[in-house]
Formats: sequence, structure tokens, C-alpha cells
Amino acid sequence: MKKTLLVAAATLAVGSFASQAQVYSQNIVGYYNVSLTGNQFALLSGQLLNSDGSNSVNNVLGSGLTSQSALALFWDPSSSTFTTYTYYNAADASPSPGGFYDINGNLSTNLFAPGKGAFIQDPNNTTITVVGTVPQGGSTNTVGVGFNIYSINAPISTNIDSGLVNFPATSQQDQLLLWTGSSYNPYTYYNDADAGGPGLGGWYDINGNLAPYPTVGSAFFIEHFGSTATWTNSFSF
Amino acid sequence: MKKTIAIAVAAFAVIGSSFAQGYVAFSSSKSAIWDDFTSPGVGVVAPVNTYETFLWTTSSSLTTPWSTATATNATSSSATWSQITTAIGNGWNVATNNTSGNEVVGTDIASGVTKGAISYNGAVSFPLFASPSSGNIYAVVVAWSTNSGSVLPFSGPLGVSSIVTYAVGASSSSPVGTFSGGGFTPIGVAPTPEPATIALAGLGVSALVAFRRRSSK
Repeated sequence: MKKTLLVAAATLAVGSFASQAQVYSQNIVGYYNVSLTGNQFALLSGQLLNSDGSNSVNNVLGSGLTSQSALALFWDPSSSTFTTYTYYNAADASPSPGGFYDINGNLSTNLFAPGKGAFIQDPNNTTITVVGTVPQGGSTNTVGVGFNIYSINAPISTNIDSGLVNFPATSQQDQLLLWTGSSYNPYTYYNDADAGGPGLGGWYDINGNLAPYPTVGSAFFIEHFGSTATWTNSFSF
Repeated sequence: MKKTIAIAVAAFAVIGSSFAQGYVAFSSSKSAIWDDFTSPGVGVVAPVNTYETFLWTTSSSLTTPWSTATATNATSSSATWSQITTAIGNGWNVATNNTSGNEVVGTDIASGVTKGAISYNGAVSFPLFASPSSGNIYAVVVAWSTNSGSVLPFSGPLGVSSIVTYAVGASSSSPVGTFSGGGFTPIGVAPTPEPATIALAGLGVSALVAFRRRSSK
């Protein structure tokens, strides 16, 4: 799965200007591409804010996908099951709008947004492009107990336990599952103290190897233990 | 015949209970099942009047007794119930939900964008009894009229698919696709003249001829 981050330079616009404080806020608009291998699931995230502000999966995805065959699987943590949505383009869904529909014909209300993710599959090799504004500033997500799909809140590749990402994991319990394309590689979180000292904390596999960084546009499963936590972080570019 | 099949399925269930199961979502995209039995040859997307199950195997070389899928506008099915029985005897397994222990029986969706899609368990994956926990299985969809019964009826209108290649999941948290992604294409459910039916029809014609001859004397 080849991902390319082509954010930054596409368009740069000054979003707001506060003359008194001399503070500038820049909206960085761009895109990244994700290449899908035919008939192979990819665990992806929409790490940009789309133009209409909804980040509905129906607005973020569609271009490049095969109507009546492409799938989006969203995890339901309450039932611990996936809900499967099939993509129908406007012609195949007419008179209903194009988008992702569940088996009963309900249009998906799921978000394909920063911090979230879903499995995406197409029967053909294809490239999907996620377009939008790079999220900046603070964000807050809830991390419930049990399995759920998460992603880094911005289109960057870094370690999940970094201060920047700040995921509220429970040491020696929380499990990170990174999707390989056909199965999961599991990692357990150890904080600095449990890992042996300052700077050593992180997600380790059973052999003591640190987890690789999630790539841009990818999502991951985490099984969280303990109690519901609040995940806060802040990005600025 | 039904008793024989039931015993075979039960025996298979006992044998299979010691193996791990793979997860399967038995569903499809829209317009998957067509009703050809209400008006043979004039197919319409099935209006919630069919049931569907599937037969499966792990062997990529196992063939089916029928050579083609049932067309969406067929005047008669491309397979017979006798061939379904033969397929089961030759190693095709009747799909069974390992959680419920019941035969997997889906329905077609009534209306909306997904009208005519196959739906079982809300398209949520389930453990397929005695299946492998990884790799591919090979499946054929079998569909019939709801008038014939809610499990494989072995009589009445019938529709069959070509062989679908399906990648099973290792657990409920494994992503799995639909049958459409595995190559399933829409099929019809059409009348099936079984040998017994043909024989009965022949008897009826003979009786009618005899009655007319007697009446004309």
C-alpha cells in the first residue's frame, strides 16, 4: 500500500488574521493518495477535513472506486462487529444519492475523518485521493474500553505514543493491531517506567520490537483496557 | 431423500466441531436474485419471495453437476434438485452457522438501493461451521422460492450460481467481503422439472388420453 503525502504546497491561504495579537492561522489545503490492491482490504483514515466540513464517508470517498463492488467496513464497538457498506455511484443508486449503503439500503452516516478509520476494499487495483484541509489546533476524542479503530489526527507518520499524538494507552495492557493487508500484527503498550526508563516507552511486539509508525492515511485497531479515556492532542503546521 | 441429507449434515456437523472456523458474510450487492418462477422467462428482481443458502468446499478443483448459473430470465433452472443432492454427496457442504447451528438461509432485500440483494445476519460475518480459519473457500449460491420452505426444500423453483471464490476471516474482527466481490453474479430462480415431476406429468397425460378415448367410444 503506497501512500504519498502531497499536502502543504498545493494551496496556501490565510484563513484569519488578528491584527492586535499578530497571530496568523494558515489553512493548508492538499491531498494524499492511497493505492489499493484489488480484492485486498486496507485499513484507512480520512486525515484531512473535507470542503463541506462533514467528513462523511460519502463525501470523502467515491472517486476511483468500483460501483456495486467497493466496500467500506466500519467497526461498531458496541456490538464488536463490522457493518458492511457497498459503494453505489449516482447512476446505480438513482434516484437516491450515490454513496455507501448498508445491506438494507441505508446510506452510511459514518465519518471518514481524522482520528477515525475503516476498512476499504475494491475489486480492482486503484488509487483513491483524499482531499481537504490539514487539521490544526486541538482535538478531543473519546477512547472507550475495548476494540476500536483510530488514526493519527493529521496526515503525518509518527509513533503513536509520541507526545504529539498523546494516545492515552494503559501500560502493559492496551493492544495495538496494525493491519498488514491480510492479518494483524499485535503490539502491547509499555510506558517509560514499565519499559525500563525514560524515553523507552512505546508499543512493543512479543519479541520486544517497537511497532512501526502508521503511514499517512492509515488507521489501526487499539484494544483499550481500564476505563474510558479522553484523547487530546494538538497539531500546528 | 430429505432424511438422508439431514443425517449427512448432522454427521458433518459432528466431524467439523473439532476444527477452527472461518468467518463469512453472506451478502451481495443489489439485484442479485431474480424471480423467474412467477412468470417463467420474464425475470424481475425478486420481491422478497426467495431464500438463499450456499454450498462450499475448500477444494479449488471440485466442480458442480451443473455447467452454468441460472440466468436472470430463465424459463427453467440450469440445475435440478437431484444435482444439488449429488453435489452434497460429492463434497459440497451445506453452509451452517457455527453459532446457531442452523443452516444459513438468507433473504432478498425488499426495496431501496439494495433491492434484491442477498442478506443474511444483516451482512455481519458469522463463523461458518467446519470451515478453515484462513484462505479461500469456494461456494455456490442456491436459491429457491419461499413457497417451498425455509430450508433447502429439494423441490420447487431453483436457482444456482457459478463458483465464487471467497476469502474467509480468522475472527469477527477480521474484515471480510461480500459474495459479489468473490465473483458472484445475479441469478434467477426458475421452475425445475425433476424426473419425478416429469414422470407424474407423463402419467397425467396418459390418463387424459385414456379418458378421452373412453369418452369417445
